[in-house]
Amino acid sequence: MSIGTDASPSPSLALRGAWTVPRGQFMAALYLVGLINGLAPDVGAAITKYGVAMAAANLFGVTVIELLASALALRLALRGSSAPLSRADLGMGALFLVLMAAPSPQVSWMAIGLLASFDVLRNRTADWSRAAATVMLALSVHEVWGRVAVNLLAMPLTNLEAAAVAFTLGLLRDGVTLNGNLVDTPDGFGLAIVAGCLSMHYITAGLVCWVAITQAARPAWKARDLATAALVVLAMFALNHARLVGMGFGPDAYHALHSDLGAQVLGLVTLAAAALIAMRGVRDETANGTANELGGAR
Amino acid sequence: MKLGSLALAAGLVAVVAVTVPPKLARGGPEAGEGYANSRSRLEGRIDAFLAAQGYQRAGLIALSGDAHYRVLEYARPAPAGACGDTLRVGAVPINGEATAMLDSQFADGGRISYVLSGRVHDAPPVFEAYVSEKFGRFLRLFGAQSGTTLNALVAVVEDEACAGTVARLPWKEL
Repeated sequence: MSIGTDASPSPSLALRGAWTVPRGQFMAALYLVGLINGLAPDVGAAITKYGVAMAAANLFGVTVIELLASALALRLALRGSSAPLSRADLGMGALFLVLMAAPSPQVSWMAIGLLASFDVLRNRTADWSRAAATVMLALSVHEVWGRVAVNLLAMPLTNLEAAAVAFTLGLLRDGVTLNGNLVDTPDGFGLAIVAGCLSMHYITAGLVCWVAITQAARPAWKARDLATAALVVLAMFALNHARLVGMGFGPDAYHALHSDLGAQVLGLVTLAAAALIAMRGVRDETANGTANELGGAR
Repeated sequence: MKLGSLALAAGLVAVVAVTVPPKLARGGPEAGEGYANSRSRLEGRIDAFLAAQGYQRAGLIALSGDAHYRVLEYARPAPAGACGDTLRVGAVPINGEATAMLDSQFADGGRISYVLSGRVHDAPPVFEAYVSEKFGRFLRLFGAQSGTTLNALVAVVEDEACAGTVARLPWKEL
């Protein structure tokens, strides 16, 4: 910036410039504060429950998908707009920090969703700032609204999931019966499909992974992304469904698949499946050398 | 690095230092509020409430193999076969996921009711219970002691032939 005929900035303007914060950096800082507030209780609970070493081995209770999406969103935000902050940005930032003061991680996730919605609506063009906001919005929906939906709709959802399990199990075993969310087998072993078993958890996590990978490759959505999303949903449902059906083969299978190890293996498999499907969905752009955050050509 | 970026980083550290400890002090998002904890707390209250009505705990009936879902059996001295001498009461999840378990075990010959905030319902009041629990938690954020933070509600089973006892009990006192 210069004034008059002299090309070099005046000392006062240079000082003012030194205090300027690029918008992308500001948003990344707010998202980081929100993520720390949203995830810290999980980390604290994991350390209390398992000790530092075991908690670290379990990623401090934070899922790989949460970590992946958070890291990509922060990186995208830092690549975002270098424009100076507007009053609306500062106002939204202030409201965000007020919400962070609430001692509830759920409020922090809601605040992230609010800030991300503001950022998405403010950026009419598909740029990296908007891509970061979209990923953060997906994370917020997964952390807050997905859980709300599962709790409020637990009865119909568990009944539907149980019906699907009973159908598949009935193809493999004789005498399988269904009663609400209970699946009974002829040898007296029964499964109760409860809210924690629902495929919905894996579906929303898979969609977060898909949003993060797709937006990291290119901020602009394409119609075919919907087909990729549908594939992710199908894959998440199929993997969890296979696990639930497997549990119906008796106590040994149930304990193996229902254990912490079984859940962790399923978590990794679903992550790999969602990531592979999402990466395949954007493979053409990466192959063609379009700018992306996944290690492709810039 | 620019001065503005340094100030932003310093502000970030300060905000985290102020906002994170209260959340850690409350534990994980489900700490103290999960179903198992709520069930234990509510069962204690049910014991005291029914003892005041003359009932004593007489047993435990597991709804699931690990007794994670369960109902407690209560009895009070009365002539054998007298109506209302036995009740089965459980603290079940507010999302209604134990409804089929109760139905499969007790629907034949029994009447199942659900109690929330002193009122008796024929079906689990999922939405009302959820809103009530969230509102209770919200009030606690600001230090209020009113409202519930229980992630469980009361399910009561009485003999169909003797139905009516549940409606007569003063559940508001629970």
